[in-house]
Order: sequence, then structure tokens, then C-alpha cells
Amino acid sequence: MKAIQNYYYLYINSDDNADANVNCKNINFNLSSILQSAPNKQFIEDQAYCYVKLSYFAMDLPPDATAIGTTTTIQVRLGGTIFPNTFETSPPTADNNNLVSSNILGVIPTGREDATDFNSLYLYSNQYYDNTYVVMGNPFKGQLNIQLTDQDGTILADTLTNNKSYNMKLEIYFPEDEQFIFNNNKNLIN
Amino acid sequence: MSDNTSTPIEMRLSEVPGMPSPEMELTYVTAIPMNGSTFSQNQECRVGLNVPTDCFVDLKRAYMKFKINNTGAAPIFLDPLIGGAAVIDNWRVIGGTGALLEEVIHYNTFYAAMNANKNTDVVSTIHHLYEGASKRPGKAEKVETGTADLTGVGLTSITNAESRVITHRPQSAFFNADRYMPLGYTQGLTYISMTLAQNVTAFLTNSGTDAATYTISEVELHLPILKPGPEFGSMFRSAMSSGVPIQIHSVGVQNTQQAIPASTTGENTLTFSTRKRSVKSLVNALRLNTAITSSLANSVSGFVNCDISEMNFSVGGMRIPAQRIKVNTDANGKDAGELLANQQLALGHYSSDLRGICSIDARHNADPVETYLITDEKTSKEGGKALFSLDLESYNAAFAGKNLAGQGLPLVFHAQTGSKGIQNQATGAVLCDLYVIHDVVYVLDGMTGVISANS
Repeated sequence: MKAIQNYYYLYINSDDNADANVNCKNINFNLSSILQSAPNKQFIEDQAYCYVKLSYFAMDLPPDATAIGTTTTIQVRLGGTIFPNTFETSPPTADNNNLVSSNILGVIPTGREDATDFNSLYLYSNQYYDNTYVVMGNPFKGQLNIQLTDQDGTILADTLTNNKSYNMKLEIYFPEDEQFIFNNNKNLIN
Repeated sequence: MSDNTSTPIEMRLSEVPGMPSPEMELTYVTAIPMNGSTFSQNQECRVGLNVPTDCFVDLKRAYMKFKINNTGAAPIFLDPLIGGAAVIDNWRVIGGTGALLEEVIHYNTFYAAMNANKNTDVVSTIHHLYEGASKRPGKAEKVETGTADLTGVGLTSITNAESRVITHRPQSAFFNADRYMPLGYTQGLTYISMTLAQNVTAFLTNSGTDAATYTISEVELHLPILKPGPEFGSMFRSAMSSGVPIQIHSVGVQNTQQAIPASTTGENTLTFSTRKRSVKSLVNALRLNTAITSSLANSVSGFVNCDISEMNFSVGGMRIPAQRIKVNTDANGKDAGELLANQQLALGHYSSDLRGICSIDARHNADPVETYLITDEKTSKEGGKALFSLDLESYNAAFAGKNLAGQGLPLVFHAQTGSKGIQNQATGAVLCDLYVIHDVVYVLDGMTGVISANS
């Protein structure tokens, strides 16, 4: 059984961002203050990686063409951290491979069915939260940048984000896996 | 009777200099990114260290090159102290089996802290040519609202749709170890992972033209490769497989962060986390949070002092130093020397008269401007060069630092902030980047070929 204390839950309100930015498309949080709160901080602060799941996302966007337009998907992308196991496709060009490393934490369908029909119930496609765990760098090490982009990876237009807010809940799990050296803070040899 | 004499080196005329053994053949390899060739803000760039089998790499002599392309609509200006190296937000080295060998969060600010403690002439010549640092690096730049005219102040400019090539020597533990790295004997491919800074962080732009975007391309890592003869190679392999641990010492840095809230005057107590076993020194860099995310401000190297009048650290529950370090920015009673002395002690520069600090602007003028501690930064909105540092080493030697692994409360920064500090305004939250300089040992397990970092 996984130890219960290795799970952390983080509720993020975009209004609380570190720069007091009212446009939520590209905001920063300083999450290093976990130190004062977590009981077994000594264990988590040295971890290089963890598993993170976007378990809830809500944004005050009216389900209509005026607000959502042609955006079918909102991607939550993080800056300042790494996703060793996450990849995405990109158009193969002289500059880039068809497969590139990605910084997508989770994706949220906007409920757009066609130009006039939108799912009016949820910003999510259904009430079951369908994002799964991704491996990412430990977010509790400092400044975390969160960007919202559309399905093509282009940052959302101000019409969707300015003076708007979102809330998300993250589930963070720090595994103890002997096969993988997560802890770089072992005893000094000798 | 034996006397206590010896022949000085100048008179050892019959000595034949020995030839170094084992013999090594030096070649150079250029490593390129594994995950694409053009990278933009927040993206990760991975460069594999392609070291041929049975070879060593002299990472102290390695350097990195990349081209910065201005893809925005307006000219961009590179950071005054570190130029184009400001695009490297996080620096990681990952071993061939996935183990994290080094992680420096806010690498660019750490590099800026190091360059602030170099002579102005070094920064304005060598680092100007390498990374595009300013030709007037001692000048204070705004950390808020920005400057209307940046063209005439010595900053390196990249016009829109144009580029500049950056050469950078990594300020990294893995690259500054005291031995050649036996990467040709390890399992898998060790790689460097750089996450790139946001557009708003990496550069300065003129007031009113906040439109900086960039990409980097043509990333190259030049590695000097040393190939030993086949006899040494097989001897080294058999030594490894017989269980002789291969250990390489270096000095690394760990970043932990805290924030001084806006509009605070008085005592600040900031708890930092670190669990390193040999902490050599602490370097605390204070930056205005809104400056970090504004291209109109000096994001990376605009160090503020928050009008701190005295400070010390609690290390494992003990106040060090017991009598607090005093600071005063005012002309009447100016006190900057003690802070600087502790900064030099922390960086190991104290006993050297050759180490200057990059804090004099416009030296050719009748009255040059000193920019180490900015007086009344709340009004002037300028960043200085002062860091809040502390030396913790008992000897100037490896493993002579403080052991913070078993301490209940490892590190607390106590500071008395004043009313003239930049934090004393509505949008004045200040980010404290505490860099913990510590010993690290890279261990290569001979049986498995796995390299890991212990610190």
C-alpha cells in the first residue's frame, strides 16, 4: 500500500498569483512555502520528480461562441519545471522533429461541438476528471509558471482570460521507487 | 648531522620533468540537442553528452554556444551582467539512468550573482564578448517601469528579426569537478536539460515596447574528449568491476526560495529548506517579483536590498553571526563594507586583492556612480549588486561545511527591512533566491556503470 503521507493536494486559484495579475493566461506562483506546512517536508523537499494529476479545473467562461470561439481544448502548460516523460507532436520542419518534449500538465475540452453548439454543463467534457498522472519536476522548489494555451499550443487570447479566473486542484504523489534514483541526497560515501 | 635545508626549485637543475601517464589523446566533440533544434520560452532543451566508449571528458574546458533570435516586434536588450545566459532559467544534469546529478533553479540569477562579484572590466570585456553582457555593467538598471532609452547605455541590443551568438561556460558543479569525468564508462547517455526563461524574464525592452519574444537555435556543447590507450582503458574497467568506487568531488549549488511580502517594514523571518551535508556558504539574492515577469525591468540581475538595516541567519537553530550584520544605505552613516566582506567570505574572494566587484558606473565621469547598495530604491526603482551572504566553512577545504541534514530547522533568514526598500509599496513582493553552496560527490558504481550525486 502506498503511504498516505506521500500524497499532497494543491488547490490553485488564479486570482492568488504572485504578481497579482488580472489576466490569467500566463501567471506565476511561488510554491516554495510548502516547507512551513508539510509535516514530512524533509522527505519531499529533496525529491527531483513527482507525479502530478490535474484532478479538477473550472473557469468562468460562458459556453458560447463569443467567449470560446474556435478553441476546442485548453492546455495547461507549466514553465520552470520539466516533464521527462511527456511528449507532443509538432510539424516536422528543418528546425524541429515530429516528436518534441512537452510541458503540458493537463488538457481541458471546452465543450465546443460546432460553431453554435456548446456543451452548456461543464467546461470539462464530463463530470469524470480524465487527466491522469504525469511525471514532472518537483513543483515545491520555487516559482511555477502556469500558462493556458489553445489546442495548437498558442497562448489563449485576452478575451478568454483577461479579468477571468480559474481554479484547479492538483494531486501530487511522491513515489518511493527503488529502481529510480529519486533522492539525490543520500549519505556521503566515506 | 642532518640539517634542515632544501634545494629551491630554481636550483634543481638536474631534475628531469616526468611525463604524465597514462597517455591521453585529446579531441573535441560537439554535442547538439536531442529534442529539436529551435526552442522558445518555457521549453526544455536537452543536450546529450556524447562521449565515446572508454573516454573521459574534461568538462572544465567545455563551453556552450547558442544563437538567440529576436522573434518579437521590437529590439531586445540583453541582461547587463550575464547577457544572453539569462535565457537559462533552470539547469539540470541528468545521468544515463535518469538520476538527477545537478539541479540549479534560477541558474541565470546565480550566474548573475557570480558575475556581480567580478571586476567591471572582466564583465564588460570577456563577458560582453562571450554572452553579450553590458559594456557598462556597473550601471544600475530599473527594476520597475523601465527606461525609455536603453540604446545608449551599453546594453547589448538585438534588433527584431536579428540574432546574436552566445558563448557560455557553464557555472555548474558537474562542469567544474576536480577530475576528468569518466562518462565513456557509464551506462546510458548523460544529458543536460535547460528550461528556458519566459520572454518577459530573459530580456529588457524599452518602455512602451513590451513585446519581447525569442527563440534559441544552433545549440552546441563543445566537449574536450580524452581517449586513453587501450591498456589503461581495460585496466580502468577491471578496477571498476572489482568494486573500486570512483568518486569525484565538486562544489554545487542548490536554490530554495521564499518571499518578502509587499509593504512590510520591520523584522522578516524567512524559513528555507535545505538538507545538504556540507554547506559551505549561503548567497541570498533579492529580486522584485514583478520585475522578474516584466520585460520593461531588469529581471535577472536587478538585486534589491529592501532597505535592510541588519540581518543574520539561524543555522540549525543557532544565530550566525550572533551579532547581526549591519547595513546602511544612507549617505549619513553609510555602511556597506560589512555586507560586502561577508559576501566575499562566502564566495572565497576575501583574501584576494584581485577580486573586484562590478559596481562602479561611468568611471570616466568626474563623479562615478557607486551601485552596490542603492539608496532609497523605493524612489529610484533601481537594482544594485548587493547580496546577503554568509560563510559557513570551518576550513577552506572539501567537506568543511556545516551539516544541515539532521537539523530540525535548517535555515532561517532574519532581516530588518526599512521604509525606503522597494518592497514597501503595493506591488513590492520580493523573491529571495537563497543559493546554498555545498560539497557534492559524484559516484560511479563500477559494477553497474551508474553515476549518481551525493551531497
